[in-house]
Amino acid sequence: MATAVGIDLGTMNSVIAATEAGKPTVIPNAEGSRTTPSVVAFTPQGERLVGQLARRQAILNPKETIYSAKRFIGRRFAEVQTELNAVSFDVAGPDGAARFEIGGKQYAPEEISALVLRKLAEDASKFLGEKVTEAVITVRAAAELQQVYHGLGAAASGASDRLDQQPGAPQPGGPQGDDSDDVIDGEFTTHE
Amino acid sequence: MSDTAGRTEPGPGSRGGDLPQAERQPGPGGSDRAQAQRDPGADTERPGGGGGDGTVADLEHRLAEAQDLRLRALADLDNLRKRCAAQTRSAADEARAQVARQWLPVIDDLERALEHAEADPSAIVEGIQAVRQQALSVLVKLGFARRDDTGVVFDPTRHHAVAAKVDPDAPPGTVVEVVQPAYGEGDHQLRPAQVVVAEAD
Repeated sequence: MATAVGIDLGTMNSVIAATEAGKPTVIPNAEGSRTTPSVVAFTPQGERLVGQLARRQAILNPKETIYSAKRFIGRRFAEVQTELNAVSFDVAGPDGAARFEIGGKQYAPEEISALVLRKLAEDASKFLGEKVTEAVITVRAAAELQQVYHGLGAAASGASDRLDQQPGAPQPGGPQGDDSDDVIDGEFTTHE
Repeated sequence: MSDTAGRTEPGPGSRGGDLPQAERQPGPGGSDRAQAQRDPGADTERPGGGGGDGTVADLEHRLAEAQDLRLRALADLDNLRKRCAAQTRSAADEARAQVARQWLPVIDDLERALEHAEADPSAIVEGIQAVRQQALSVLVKLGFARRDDTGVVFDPTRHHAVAAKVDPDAPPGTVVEVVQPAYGEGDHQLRPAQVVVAEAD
């Protein structure tokens, strides 16, 4: 049977939960913690760290440790000037869209968030002992983000998978750029 | 409170008795067959022999049997779930009490050291150091030995960097100072060490 999970993709921390015996239960990550920092780091050794481990080395690697990625999702470079001053990493604006510059490469904010989603889903799969195939993810409700969410689901799961928008979930004309979360249903499969 | 709960719980005894029952559950095939063998004697409508002949009566009978089996299995699962939750609770209580008990001698000796301090304040340092050793050995017994990470290469699975500084005597990327030590190793790490790491000039 397919296992569905719920993911709260937060600006600072993210949480994943599943229903067990009819009750929602938070699933601890591989480090045993119920929350996972929404932080991704690319170390000088070429390793990619997600979550707590990324946060622990943040001070040593300020340019290549990405946090608060959610604030940048779906926003134009011109819209994130306040955020720029609050983060230690480099943000570029090719074609007007906000991109993170890490080691000479550019990453979309949703690519970074997708790495957090993937870790959550993989850790949950290990915990539950079966593959996570469906997810409900909280996201900002804003019409212009619809396309981004599809990208987020695809990035989290690999190109062949999809993130289905449920009719009537984030309503067009909802609060734009607001940080309040709405919920969409998505389907994705984690990489083996 | 947790102590009493841990003691009143029959624990290992009841667990030993319950286990075989629990082990029987995952084999529905086995109990299914057992039930099928038992029932023909009780039910006169059912034609003799093992194989059903596909008549309405036979199918109805098999449906009732399956429904009954399903209800039993659901009830068994529910019981198992409840028992599992209760056992987890009592195991956690017991473990907590066991760990707490190991700290009692440390408290006793701290109190003794304090009594001593009134007579001779200078004696307290030695006493406190002895109690600290005792506390560390309690942690060793529990599997969480204190770690000294000075000089090792920074590793985010074991260390949390709180600062970076240039140190001519230390290679970049190594720990030059432990601000707060770690206890335990690998999966049994209570917490990572908070460290200052050497950075390149």
